[in-house]
Amino acid sequence: MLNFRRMREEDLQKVLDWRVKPDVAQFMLTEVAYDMERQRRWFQRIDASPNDEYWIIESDRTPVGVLSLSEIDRANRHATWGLYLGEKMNSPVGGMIPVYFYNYVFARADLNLHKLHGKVLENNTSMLKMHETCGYHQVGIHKDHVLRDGKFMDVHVVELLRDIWLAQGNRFARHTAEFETRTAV
Amino acid sequence: MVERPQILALVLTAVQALNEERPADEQLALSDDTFLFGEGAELDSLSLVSVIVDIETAVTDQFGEPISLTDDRAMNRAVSPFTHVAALVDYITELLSEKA
Repeated sequence: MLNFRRMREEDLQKVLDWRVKPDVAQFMLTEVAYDMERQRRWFQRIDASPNDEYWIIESDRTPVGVLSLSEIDRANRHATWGLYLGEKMNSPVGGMIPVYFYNYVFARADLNLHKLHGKVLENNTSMLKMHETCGYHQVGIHKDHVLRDGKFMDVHVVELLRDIWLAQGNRFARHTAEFETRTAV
Repeated sequence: MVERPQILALVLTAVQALNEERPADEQLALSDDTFLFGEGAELDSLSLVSVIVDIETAVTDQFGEPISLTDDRAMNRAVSPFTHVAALVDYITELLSEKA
């Protein structure tokens, strides 16, 4: 069973360890240094920001990854989001995390989001496929946008409109989970 | 009457579609005993879900019966239907037989 609890300061070491793992970093748009001081400053900034929310993904109450909602633009009702799994999950339910997230985030009345948008590296084919499955459309491609290990990579710019997600009706409706919100702490 | 070879063909078509998105050195064999998910398997959970959502759609299109491979019944079975191709084919066959 999945649940999503707010990231806390005591999670930072584990989160940094996950973030620099090669099988996680290969899909990230930016590279981060292994620097706990910088990590703490980053956390203080996002923890205080009204426009960023970070969760630790737990599977049967064991931390396995990070989920984020960022750049929340309340005036224009859109935001971006991100996900990575730092631990290998033994259940395929990990692949459904985006679905749990969309059901949660598009139901949040305080956000009233009209759209999610994101950027995906060309090598993250599983995520691109999942986006397609969930109803994303591609806005465009930044050609040769990220230089990684001496090789330029494209970045796909994608977005999911709330109405497109909701139009899928019951297809994914059963995938709901507990999310800890800022007001709950 | 649901024929197992038809289901196997659907599953292998989905695996082939996944192969087209994967590097040459990460191709999955198109076979009954290909490992999909779990210990020693090639797919991560996101890749697996993208395959099984394709299969759900294909089964619905071909047999006119919606099935769910991502519900709690599938995810929580004592013997996972996602370990390898044959197990998935058997599970889909079981689901369709129940609807027949």
